[in-house]
Amino acid sequence: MEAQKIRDAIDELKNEALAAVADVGAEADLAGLRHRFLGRKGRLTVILRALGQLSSEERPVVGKEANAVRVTLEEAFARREADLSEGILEERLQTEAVDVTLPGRQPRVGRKHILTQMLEEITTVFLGLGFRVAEGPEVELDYYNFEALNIPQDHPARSLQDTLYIASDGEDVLLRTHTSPVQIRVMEKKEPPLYIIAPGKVYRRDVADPTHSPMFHQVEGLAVDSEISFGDLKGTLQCFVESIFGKERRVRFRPHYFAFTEPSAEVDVSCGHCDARGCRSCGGKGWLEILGAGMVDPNVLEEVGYDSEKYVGFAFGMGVERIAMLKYGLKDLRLFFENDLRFLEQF
Amino acid sequence: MLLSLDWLKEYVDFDIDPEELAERLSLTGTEVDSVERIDEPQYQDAVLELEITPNRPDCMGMIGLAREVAAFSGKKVKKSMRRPQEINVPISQGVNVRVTAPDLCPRYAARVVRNVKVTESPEWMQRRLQLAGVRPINNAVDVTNYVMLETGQPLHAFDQDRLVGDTVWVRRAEPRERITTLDGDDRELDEEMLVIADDQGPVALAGVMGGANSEVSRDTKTVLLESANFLATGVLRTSRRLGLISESSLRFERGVDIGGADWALDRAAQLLQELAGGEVLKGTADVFPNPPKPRQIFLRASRVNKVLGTGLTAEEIGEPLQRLGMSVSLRSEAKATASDPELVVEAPTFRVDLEREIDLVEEVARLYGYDRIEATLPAARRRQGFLTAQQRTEALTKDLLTAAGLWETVSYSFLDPGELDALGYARGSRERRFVEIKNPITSEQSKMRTTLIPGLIRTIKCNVARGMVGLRIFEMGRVFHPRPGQRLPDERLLVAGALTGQNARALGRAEGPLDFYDAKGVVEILVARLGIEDVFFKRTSEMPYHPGRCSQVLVGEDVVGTVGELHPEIQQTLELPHRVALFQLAVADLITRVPASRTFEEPSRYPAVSLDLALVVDENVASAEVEKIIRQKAGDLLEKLVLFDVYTGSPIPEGKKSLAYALTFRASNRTLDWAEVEAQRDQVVAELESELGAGLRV
Repeated sequence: MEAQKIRDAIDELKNEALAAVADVGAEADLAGLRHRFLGRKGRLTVILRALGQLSSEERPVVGKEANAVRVTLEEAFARREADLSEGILEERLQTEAVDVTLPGRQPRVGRKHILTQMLEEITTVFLGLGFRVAEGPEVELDYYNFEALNIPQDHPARSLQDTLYIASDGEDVLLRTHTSPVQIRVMEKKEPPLYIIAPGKVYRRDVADPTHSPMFHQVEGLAVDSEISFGDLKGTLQCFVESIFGKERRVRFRPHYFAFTEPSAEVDVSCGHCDARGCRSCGGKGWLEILGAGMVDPNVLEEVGYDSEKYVGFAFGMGVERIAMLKYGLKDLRLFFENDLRFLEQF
Repeated sequence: MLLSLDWLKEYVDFDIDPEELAERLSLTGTEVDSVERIDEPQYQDAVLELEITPNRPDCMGMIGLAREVAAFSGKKVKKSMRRPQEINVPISQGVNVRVTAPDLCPRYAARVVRNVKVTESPEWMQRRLQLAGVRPINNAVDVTNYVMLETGQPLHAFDQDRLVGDTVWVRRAEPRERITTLDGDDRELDEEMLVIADDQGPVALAGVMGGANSEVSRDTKTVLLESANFLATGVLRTSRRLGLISESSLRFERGVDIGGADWALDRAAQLLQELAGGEVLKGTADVFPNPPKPRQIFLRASRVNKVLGTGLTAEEIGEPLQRLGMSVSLRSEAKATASDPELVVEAPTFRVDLEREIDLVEEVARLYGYDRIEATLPAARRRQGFLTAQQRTEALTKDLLTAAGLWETVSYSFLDPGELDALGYARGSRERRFVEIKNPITSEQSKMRTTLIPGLIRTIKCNVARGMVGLRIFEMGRVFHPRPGQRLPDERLLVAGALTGQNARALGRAEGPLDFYDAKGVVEILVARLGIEDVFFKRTSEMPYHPGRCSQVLVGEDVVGTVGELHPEIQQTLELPHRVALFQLAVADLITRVPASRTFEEPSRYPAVSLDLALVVDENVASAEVEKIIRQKAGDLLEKLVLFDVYTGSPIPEGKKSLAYALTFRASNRTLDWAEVEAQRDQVVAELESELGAGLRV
């Protein structure tokens, strides 16, 4: 009789527990249930304590049955727990889904000015060709800017460049109109062989408009050696143009005049839109002028004390803004110096 | 220079179309800016706009250009051989020429044409003048312009009946002598200027412009034609001094063919007779005391090939020179020596630019064709390209600032003193000692900049006006200061930055307005990454900064720059919507402090012990002082010190603030035990208490 009562209680507990386990929704609740049914002070333990009242024949039988129920329930709890945790992960994965089209949190990064980028690009090409970088003053003596470059006081070439002068005793201090005076300064200090470029700011007495600027940037190049030629100048500049504009662009050398080089050349690059056939973007010309160059005039070499019989030199000069304008299709010089953020952010 | 091809055909034959001709001209050194075709029922032509370089005055005339075309096409130049019909009255009965300044006028030739009928030129001549950009006036004046365009030799026509006396004087002007030029301006002259004068006074400014008093008009009966050679430098000087530029002065200042004056004069007399009738007196009054000897130039084949990188023979070198009208004598290579080379070239007088061997090398190169010279690279030998440490540090500085979120700007190196006024720079401050520009175009560009701050403010204003109020920018560039006793100023490379406003409203970008600490943070990162140690900040007060938010930046004892917020009053006056935090540093001062070499320190593999220290100190105690004591007393085991909170207000007593630091201790060779760290901490706390009266926050 006692045994039957215990059996019934166990059965009831089993059914109740299984129902509760099936019903439970959270892992924490499941732990509470387990404690309530199977814990040290749980209901099964309480029931099993009554086993002591049973006879020695009945005790092992009921005990075995009770254990089977415990195993069943343990399994049920374990299954349920596994189900629950899987469900929770599933739910987390679902609730944590984001709108991948929302903007990312961007670290703030600035950028160098387009002119600096251009200058660095140009410099890199010439470093690779074995040139070093030289610098000189922006406020310069007439001697370095003109005289030593074979441009004496009454030379017609002077009227081509409207010069800003510095208020001083004479007319001999000015804002350099080109980076060429650096050539002279370097040659005064060093003996050939010499391979340098000189990037920097230059100034002209011009009102700022789309094609003029009172200040702009040039890169000067100078090579003096015992065995270099016009052919080497061509090759060097061809390398440069290919690096900056791409291998598919062609280079053209046209005779020109500069006071401090002879023979002199203007160098054109073929229009990227029409391959030199002439189109609207190049004004029908097919070719875009990018720099001036030539063999250093013997007068210039002699002026710095070089033996112009022994040494030959080539020199070139380019406008950095002009190259940037050609490269990016810019039409107005003033944009470089306004520093409109919307302009800066494009490069 | 405008070149009508219809006109050009009179002097040289060519059968290529205008575009190809333009290309050939460009590739031999006469740059063609544009080709304009004229297609009218009665007239077809093409006009090229040419850019004539200053060394080639001979190309400022049709015949010179025809020589160029002939040289590259192998054709011959055709020159008119017609001569004027002279009457049997010698020129000496018409005019005497006296040159008293032969240094400024090596040649003066004149002819007289009597009984002319001055009227309009025929249509063909008017058209040609107009196509060349010259306004037709009357047949006498038009003839002089026409022949100038043809030959490059400027000519002038006087109404001889209006000249006083029979003598034409070529002399220097008297001091303060005056002339009214053809443009109607009355001009005062000086004794460096050359004039053409009659017995009474100047009738023309030699080589620049004629005088109104001798101008040819419809009533003119006798025309005196002048074809002279004036010294380039003299004409240039007069033209510049008077601010008077003419077609004539532009040619003379580049150099006119001294040997061509007589041919041009004959041509003009013949044309005038053709158009205006009249009697041409016999002969020419030609004052030409020292005709120049032909210029012989030695040309070595070896030199040509060395300079150009070619392998041309003497014949190949001589051939293009002959096509250009030079006489070339060749010697065989075997017999040639340095002093007696393969080629001896005689340069014609019209090529004033040819004097030296190198001038001929250029002629050979341009006619041989630049495109035919092989492109090579200089031999590398032991040459190596690299940047100096200084150049690399400059680039690194820009890299670091951009990595810190700043955009680089470039502004003009000029300054308007008004900008310094607006920013409140003190009178007598270093920024107000300027390098001044003598001939500025505007006051905004009248001084060289002494600081980069105004440029940054300009950039901010420009952007704010366009609706961009959040900016983080920097500029690196030179500033200029006069150096007493030196002709050239001091040029210092500075770097300066500005941070202002808030970022545009956007998700994940919330941020308070930028202030002093944002600018200071940039400076700290910069110097730290450059590897500069010993950097301090010290409160200072100078314009244009907020007196309470301005600091010197020091490395050791030396001030290398400033960081500070723009004074609020100035910010308001400049109508800037937000605080502007600025910094400016001397790049050279930073570069010299970048350690030349640094030694690697191995990171410890042992665990760290961290503890927090919340202190209460007087409000006016600088956090730098607290940090200094912590570092001193915590010893070498202190790996990292971070201030993570500054707090005032309840429950911290009035006049006090709380500073909370996180200290990380670590040893390089063992695991630290807690007691050891606590001992260090107690030392720190004790020292803070005795030195600064600091207490632990409870």
